Amino acid sequence: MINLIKYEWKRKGLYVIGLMIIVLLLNIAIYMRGYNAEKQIVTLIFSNMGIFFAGFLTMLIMHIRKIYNLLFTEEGPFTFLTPLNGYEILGSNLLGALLDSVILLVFMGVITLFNLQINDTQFIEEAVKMIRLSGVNVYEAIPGTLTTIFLNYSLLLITIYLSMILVKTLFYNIRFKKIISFVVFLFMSRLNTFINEVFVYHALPTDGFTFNYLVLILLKTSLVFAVWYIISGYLLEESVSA
Amino acid sequence: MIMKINGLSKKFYTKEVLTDIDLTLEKGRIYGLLGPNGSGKTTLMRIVANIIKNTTGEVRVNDLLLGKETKKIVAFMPTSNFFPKWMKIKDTVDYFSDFYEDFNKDMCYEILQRESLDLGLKVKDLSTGMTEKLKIALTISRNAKLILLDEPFNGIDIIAKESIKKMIVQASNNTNAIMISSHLIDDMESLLDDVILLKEGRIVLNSPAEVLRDEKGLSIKAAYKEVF
Repeated sequence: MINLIKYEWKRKGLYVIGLMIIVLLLNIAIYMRGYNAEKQIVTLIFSNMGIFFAGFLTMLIMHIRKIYNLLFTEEGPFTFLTPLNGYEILGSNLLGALLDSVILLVFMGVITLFNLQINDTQFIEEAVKMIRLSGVNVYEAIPGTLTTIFLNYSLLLITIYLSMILVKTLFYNIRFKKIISFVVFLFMSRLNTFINEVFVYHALPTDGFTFNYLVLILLKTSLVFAVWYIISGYLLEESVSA
Repeated sequence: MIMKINGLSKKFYTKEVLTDIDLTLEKGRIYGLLGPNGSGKTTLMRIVANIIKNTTGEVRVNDLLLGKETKKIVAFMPTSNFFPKWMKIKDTVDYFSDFYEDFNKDMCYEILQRESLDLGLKVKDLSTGMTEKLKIALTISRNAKLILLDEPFNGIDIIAKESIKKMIVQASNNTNAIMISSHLIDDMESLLDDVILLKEGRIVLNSPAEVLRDEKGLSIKAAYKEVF
């Protein structure tokens, strides 16, 4: 599994490093313009957010294309012939995708904090003060929220992967298999929303967001993720048709 | 015996592309899986390589049912250019070395050097002949029990063909079996120990080449013409 992640990183590492260099160069360029402090921080934050979203969207497309290439192009056997099972191939793709997202998010977080600090804004102090006043434990809320974000991204990917895997497995001998798989994707997304409505939204504490509520969200997302992952891995392992 | 297939069939939609295949491969022999385009050769090889599933029947390699363990001892060279386009030749060698315990990196480098394949070349820039040579070099540098070569002579010139034939003969030994699929019969005559003819998904002839020659007085080409 580690080897697959290594080669995946070799493929797209240049893209991630390139994106980081662009952000750094852009930030340096903005500093060199000599704006006043307020305009400078606003320009920095909006420019960085723009690049971050563009970069993230490109990365999402790359993560989807990876499984598409595996299933629908001539490159597929290059991975499928390796002595790995379906769960390992799928797992390494998901871990690789998660690794990219963590690197990108941490990098953007560090850049943003640096910009806020260097421009001497009171934003960080104000934010910490507000969080403390709301009674939320920062040391629980921040890691919890980040885990929720990454887990939800993994859930989105596995939902897309499963619908693509269905085209090559269960639905392979059915006409309009791609349309049916897309309908299944919509159904899986709707099912996730339904589970949220029934088990998560109703459990929202009346006194606001709590750590226990975050744990509930994490548990629910992990459970749905695990079910989709097991089905996808099983199908990849047992019934790829062509 | 290195491989045994019992009652194998494969359906795509409602069309059966392989029907009731029974086949046994022995060590130390080179088998030719011959038949016209669409006869089911590639499908059979992809099933044995465990990258697609059969509809019915059972395949065992070294007495193991197909799975992760058989992938460790089966080397399959697909007919397509399956290398990721970003890779250089050196990356493909490193990839095989990282994934396959039976891969002999030094042997592969030796073959690549002999065939004048520069490690720094990108695989997307290779000609058809160079790609075939690279695929063969990587596949036979594995000390695999079963080597499957799908159409290794497709679209390449006579010089490259001779060089690939030499590589195949050198890779054959008493511990492995090699199965080569092809619809180009002229290229196979001097190479094969056994002939398996596949017609519309069924095995219609399975015989040692010497039995064809000595007992029936037929070359492989003549036997092929007789069947098709």
